[in-house]
Amino acid sequence: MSGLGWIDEFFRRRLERRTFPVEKGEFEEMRALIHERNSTTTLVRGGGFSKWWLSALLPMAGVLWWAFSEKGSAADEQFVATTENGANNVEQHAAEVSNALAQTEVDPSGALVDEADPYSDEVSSPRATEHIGSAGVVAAAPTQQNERSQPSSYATSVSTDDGVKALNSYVKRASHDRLARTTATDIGGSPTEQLSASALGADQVGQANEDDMIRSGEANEKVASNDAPTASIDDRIGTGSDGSGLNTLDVPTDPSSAPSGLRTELDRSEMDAVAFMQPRWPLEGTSSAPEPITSEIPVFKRVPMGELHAFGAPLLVRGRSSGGERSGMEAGSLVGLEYRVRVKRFSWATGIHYGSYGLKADGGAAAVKLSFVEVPVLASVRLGRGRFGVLVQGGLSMDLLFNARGRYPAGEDQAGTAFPDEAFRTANYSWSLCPRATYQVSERLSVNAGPLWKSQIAEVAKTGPLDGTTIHSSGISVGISWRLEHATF
Amino acid sequence: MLITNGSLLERCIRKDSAAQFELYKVLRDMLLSIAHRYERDALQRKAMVNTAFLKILDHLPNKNPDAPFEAWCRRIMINTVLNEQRNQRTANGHGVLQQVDLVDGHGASSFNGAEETIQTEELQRMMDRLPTVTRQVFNLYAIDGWKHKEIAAQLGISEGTSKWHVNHARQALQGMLEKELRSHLNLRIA
Repeated sequence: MSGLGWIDEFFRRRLERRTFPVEKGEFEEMRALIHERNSTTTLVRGGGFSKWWLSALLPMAGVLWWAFSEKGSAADEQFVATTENGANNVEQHAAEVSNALAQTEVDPSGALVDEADPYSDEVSSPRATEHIGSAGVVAAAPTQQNERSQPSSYATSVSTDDGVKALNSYVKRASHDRLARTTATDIGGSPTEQLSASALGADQVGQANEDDMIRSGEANEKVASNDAPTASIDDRIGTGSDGSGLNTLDVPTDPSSAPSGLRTELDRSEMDAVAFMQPRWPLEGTSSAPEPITSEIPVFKRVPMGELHAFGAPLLVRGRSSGGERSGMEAGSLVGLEYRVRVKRFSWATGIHYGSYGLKADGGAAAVKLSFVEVPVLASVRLGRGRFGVLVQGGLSMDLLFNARGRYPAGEDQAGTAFPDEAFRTANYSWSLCPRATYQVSERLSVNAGPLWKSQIAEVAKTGPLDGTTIHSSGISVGISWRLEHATF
Repeated sequence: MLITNGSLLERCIRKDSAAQFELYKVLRDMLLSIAHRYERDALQRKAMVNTAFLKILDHLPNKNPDAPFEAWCRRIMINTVLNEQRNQRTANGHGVLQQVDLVDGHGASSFNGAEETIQTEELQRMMDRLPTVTRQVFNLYAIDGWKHKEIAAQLGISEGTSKWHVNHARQALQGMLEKELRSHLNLRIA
């Protein structure tokens, strides 16, 4: 220390202990500050976020993943049920139609059919055809098993797009066939099913023709009576049925007499369809005739359907103390987005809710508004007739404190501590029950409305005037549901 | 020891307004003394004292019962002042250094009668003439008994800088004291 150290002692002695006169209004100001501080143990907090709400992102991500999953089937329930088995059946039948067509084409010269018909390239391609005997019967390799092994997306595209369009004309014409008509009537009115049934009938006809032709030495003559290998299916059926037991079928026109130019367009569409359904990979050939197709009506399998449900509900909120006393009504609200999986009448749902509940206690000394992010697990049952129905939904939810604002006198030992984490539970559980009347606006969209009851199971606060109080709320829920394009199972 | 009655603190913890006001009256002079040494502006001093007292009330339940209450309160007051002044400097930019007339020291013997001659208010005015950081360092070191290491950590400066500020304050105060004494002597002679 330098020689100036005495200055430290001098100033300390003179300045450390001093007295100051009381200024006017100083004490009153301090009294007011103290009073305000004691009353503002009613801490006011707004916009604070609890870390718990982040866990709600997990089910949200699950909902999104489900909703946009690519592995689902079609949305329409009936169509889904049809395509479940029907898509494979359609492609199977369509492939067998090509078999039938190829089998009925007999080249008297023993040459491949595609030498005469430019459209028969794919039909008689080495991958799908083979020669049977010296008669030159062109038999398509059975494609049923291989077609079924294709990816479902490919099969669906065949059955729903080009296959249906290209074979439409054939289906119409085959409807004259008694066998096809009977089968189609049994199955139903769907174009896809008609297609299957028609293909089935045609296949049987083709099968019969081939058997007859192989057995009979007259086959070559009958086939030779055709104008060209590109004759229409009906032509082939009519020609080949002579003497084969199928000649009782009504053939509307005489194919041999029709100008080839008029038949070209029809043949092209038919052959396009047939060519489209040829497999794109080598198939093992078989020397035996394909097994006859047993006509079984596909069993409709119900697939779980996905729905998105959004709703909002104004609420009247009451607090109920452990002693059974109820507080006055306060306003609240509940909004949510749910993902629902429905199987027949039953469904379960999860999603995310945001609930806001107002509470008062001690004659207004404590007035808070608590917001929760809620993760529900709900079950429901739906009963309905036509467009109208009733859906009863209930379940449990995990409530995570998201925000708290208002005035809340903390306990004496809570002075200066944070508001929500110390005074209120950050996690709670609640049950809810919500019967709703539903109305199906369109195939996908439905609206619903009904009462809603919701109660938290545990006490909302750990200290203060709301200690021992549980939240009970009721209101009217209004929402809309949208059936998704994809199912998730 | 300012607080001899432990029940007063207990009542303050229980938010007894009367006890809290009583505590304010007990601590008021000490808090104002500290505020006067560090802050020139009267309004700022008042705000700092109020803020510090409310902090004392807030942290009273968490206070270590073994810690001396008076030292604990002084620490809160000093920290409050330093924080407020740091915030002011941040808001207003760096403070303008005041020009202080430094005079060569003439030894302690020249100021034997200073304590009786110079009023406390005059000493306070001398302190107020020091630059803010110099005044802070001098107050912390010479009056409040902090070590240079603690001062350096609190103010974000090096220990050497802290020592320089102390020495600079001493020289400045010595010059101001000498000038003040001469004026007093001239008045007496006249």
